[in-house]
Amino acid sequence: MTVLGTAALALAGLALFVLGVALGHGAARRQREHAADSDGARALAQALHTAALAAAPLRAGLTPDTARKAARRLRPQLGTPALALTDDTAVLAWDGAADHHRAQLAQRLAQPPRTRAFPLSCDDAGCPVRWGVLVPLAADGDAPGALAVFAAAESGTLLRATEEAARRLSLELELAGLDRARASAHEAEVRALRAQISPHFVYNSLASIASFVRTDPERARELLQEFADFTRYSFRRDGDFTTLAEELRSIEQYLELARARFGRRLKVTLRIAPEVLPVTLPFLCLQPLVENALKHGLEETVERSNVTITAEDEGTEARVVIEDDGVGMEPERLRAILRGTAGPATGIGLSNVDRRLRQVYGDDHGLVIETGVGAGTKITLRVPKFRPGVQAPPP
Amino acid sequence: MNQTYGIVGVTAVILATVLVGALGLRVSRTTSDFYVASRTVAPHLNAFAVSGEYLSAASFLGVAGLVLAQGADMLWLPIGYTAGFLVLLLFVAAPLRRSGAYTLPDFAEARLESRAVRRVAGVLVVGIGWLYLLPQLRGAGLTLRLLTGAPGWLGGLVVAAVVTVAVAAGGMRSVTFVQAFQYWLKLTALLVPVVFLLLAWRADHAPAPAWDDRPVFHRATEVRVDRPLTLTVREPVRVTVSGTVDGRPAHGTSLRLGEGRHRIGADTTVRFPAGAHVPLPDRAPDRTAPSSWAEPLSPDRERHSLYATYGRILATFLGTMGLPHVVVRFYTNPDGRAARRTTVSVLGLLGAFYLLVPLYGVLGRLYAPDLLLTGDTDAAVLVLPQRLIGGVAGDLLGALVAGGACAAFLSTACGLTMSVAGVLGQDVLPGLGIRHFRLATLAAIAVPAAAAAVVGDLPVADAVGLAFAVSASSFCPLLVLGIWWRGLTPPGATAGLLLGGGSALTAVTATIAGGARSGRLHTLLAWPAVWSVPVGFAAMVLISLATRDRVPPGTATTMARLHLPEPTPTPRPGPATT
Amino acid sequence: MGAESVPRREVVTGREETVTGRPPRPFGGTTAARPEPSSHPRPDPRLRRLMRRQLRAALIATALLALPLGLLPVLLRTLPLAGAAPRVPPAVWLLLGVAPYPALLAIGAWYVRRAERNETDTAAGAPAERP
Repeated sequence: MTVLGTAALALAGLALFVLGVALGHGAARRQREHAADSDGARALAQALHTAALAAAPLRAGLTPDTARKAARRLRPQLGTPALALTDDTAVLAWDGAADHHRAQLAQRLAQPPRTRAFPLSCDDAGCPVRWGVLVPLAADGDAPGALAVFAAAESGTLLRATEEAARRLSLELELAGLDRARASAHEAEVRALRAQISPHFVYNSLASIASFVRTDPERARELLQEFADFTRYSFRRDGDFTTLAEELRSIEQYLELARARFGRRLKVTLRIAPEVLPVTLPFLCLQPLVENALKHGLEETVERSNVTITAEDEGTEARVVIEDDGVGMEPERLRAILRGTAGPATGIGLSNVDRRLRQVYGDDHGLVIETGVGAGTKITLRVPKFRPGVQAPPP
Repeated sequence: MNQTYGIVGVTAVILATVLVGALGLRVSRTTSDFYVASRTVAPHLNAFAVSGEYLSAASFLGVAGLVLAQGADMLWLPIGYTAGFLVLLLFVAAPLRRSGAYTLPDFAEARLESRAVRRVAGVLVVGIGWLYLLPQLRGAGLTLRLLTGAPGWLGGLVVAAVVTVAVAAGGMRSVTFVQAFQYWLKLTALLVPVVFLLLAWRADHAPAPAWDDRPVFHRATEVRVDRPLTLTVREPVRVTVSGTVDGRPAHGTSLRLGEGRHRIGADTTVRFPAGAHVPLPDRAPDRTAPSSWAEPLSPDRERHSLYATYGRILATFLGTMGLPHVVVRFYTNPDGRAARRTTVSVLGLLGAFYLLVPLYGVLGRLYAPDLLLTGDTDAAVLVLPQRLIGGVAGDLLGALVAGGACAAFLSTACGLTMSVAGVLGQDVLPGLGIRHFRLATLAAIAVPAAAAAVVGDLPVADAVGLAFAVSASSFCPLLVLGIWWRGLTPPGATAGLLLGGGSALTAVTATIAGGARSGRLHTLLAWPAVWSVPVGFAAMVLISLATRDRVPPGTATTMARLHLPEPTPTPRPGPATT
Repeated sequence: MGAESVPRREVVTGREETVTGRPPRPFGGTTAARPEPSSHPRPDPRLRRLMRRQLRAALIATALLALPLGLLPVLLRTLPLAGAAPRVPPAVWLLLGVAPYPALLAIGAWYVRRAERNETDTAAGAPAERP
């Protein structure tokens, strides 16, 4: 074996090692747990696991596709020759033999939903099913569908097993409903934040524009245009996401208006790595942070204020930092704000941005705020460059 | 070579790189340049950056070395390196940008909605990245050895350390400016010396080089042998030797080397007269002698070189689109059209660079044939200014070239390390979490650095070719089919990646390990693209057809996103529009 | 001003009570962030047409690239002038070392113009129909 060969083997070995670590980690953990448990517990765990596995597809709702997957996994557990899942009017999936009873089953769906056992008849002498049981699925006090199980002969055990299975499936459908409710609540939250340009800002902006109308009409015209552009962006309705470039552009307009009011007291520095400008991020998630910096930097003191906005490239993520040298915040109060226990009307913007970031990117991508009374504030957010489903609408 | 100048050149490049990287952020303090700061990267700037990152040690040093050793056949390499971007432009550039993907695993997940495919793609990216990093570090070792006399493995480690610090400490905050700067540096480092070299060549009555088996010393040449070496001399030649020849010490004495084999000891200087044939190193079967990498081809070169040429063409034409450090740069483009314009500019920039490279190979054949003897043909670009011009001018030009070479392996190594570290941290070792990017950086560069220190004589441009072959057989099918065919399914993609990429990777590993040294099998394994690319495509298509019910549900939406153009933003709507 | 008068900052995040040992949530953990399944599973005919036109442009360009370059190695092998060693004729050097680069650039530029025209035509056909 030559040196070359050894080296290549080492390289291949390391590659395998990395793969092995990644894949084997989970397996090893499962095995450890496995060895420690008793036989009974293991059997129970196995039964619960397979039951959960069979019901899992319905977490995405009741569709022909999910019904087919659930039916395929459920039938071996119940050990029946045929099994079907329906919605409230039609058979969605039929797994197993004796497909010709489909129409018979469909007829029964017209009846009011409750558990029924019924005999089946057909011309096929070798037909493996002669008896069936239909159990409605319940979710949200409604019966969106039913589970039907067929057997050669009547069986009380099978009836009870079917009812249990239907209960498990109903649970998943219930959860699916909760998912939907949560998603729409999230959407409503995004909408709510979006409409929330602070009324103070509108009033102050218009007031400072008014002050220029006579002395500097050209400036007033420009500011009005900025105001129009800013509101147009803020009231935009399409899509939950935007690009960092777009978001910075709207902040530019916002700052232009703020400057009209604060003049030389406000100093803003931008440090932007241009490669992170196409990064997609939740719509209007920087503007509230800048507004916060301005509020603590200027509205509560009379001196000059420096605000720095930095955006840097960190490989698969972009890091955005907004820092001011204003009065800062009390850490305990800030904690309460982020937890949502600080009462209404305080720092809604901050906690809302934080919650939206967590919802989209996971818990470790929330805001990180460094602050203290009189110490200024530094807000950091890390935005992954890619996340499935996170895509900006066309500008 | 005057070491001081070279070291100054390399140090200057490293310092400039760090400086541009640290200060390259766009800073604005007034609203008037606020707009400039938030403007996305223009296609031409991005094109400089793409070219800067792409032109590696293989392009800067390796191609000239291969041309020196093997002649016009090797011109296919730079053609392929450039044409790869044309294929990328035609099939991938705009849709890839519109997919929103930053890395190749991102694309796999966005298109196929499958975490499993993402993971397979991640492992392949790491493999390709390591294969590509290996020759960069070797090139670094070679350059530093020539400049300082330090052993080759040390140079690789030094560069690995510099890259780790630059990447992990956040010194590459603004990569675009760094890489754009590196492109111009590399172009300058080739262009300025070549003008002087060509003038010197004309003054020398413009001799034409020849590529027969027995190159000739065009001028009296002093050859320094660092490691013990066995030569075959075919015609007796009178040389001046300091050191040991055939076990006998000599101190500046004139010796007659008779026909046959001669052993030259370490640290020996041999001065050949003008017109003498260059003795070639022995093809020792145990590879103890440093060998020219012209060698593996030589025994049956005539028979297999056509196949090898097509292997090179396929690998480079189709492999470019799957190189991790190339793909991540497309994210910087604001939209699909900008991605296309960037790519077409890259074609021009690379063309300009590759017009110059073969000149070094040709001049090297004339004025530095001794590199064939020592096996350091990759050094042709570095030694030519000294050889042809000499004096302070030669030293200065040599320093410029050394700086360019340093830029070449630094920029590519940094880009590769960043993309490999990103994938390692995100996909292969997700348990580490995002915060451990630094640890991932270390892993990303430590493996190829260790391999580069161990692997003795791996030709720079050939190793790069292996990375291209793996990429062409795995990611080319994934990207092309993923973008243009609705029927691609996650099982199909996984099968194609594993079969195409896996078979190419196996062949490559066998080649590096020296599994088959010659004959048909070696040729098949050394240029796998000819068969592994069809394997990858066929596996993806057939398995996808067999699993037709697994077509991702969002395919229609994804396709629309990939192909429909982003509407151009309307700057300011009038008051009447809503 | 002394150093002790500089107030200290404290790090605050939204959820400190989160168990630190738990790995971060996998990508796209929320239903809200997932792409909605296409409401119209049948592909838009306009998209189909655009893809066909873009693919045709790409294939024409590929042919322009592959035909000359793909045949060149065979031609060089069969034609007597490239008996290669020892002296390769300058024509071969020019053919391989110089000629391809302007050609590649020209093909690329042609394709970009063609592709952008295809897109403009499609966009003009029906505006704002992006999902």
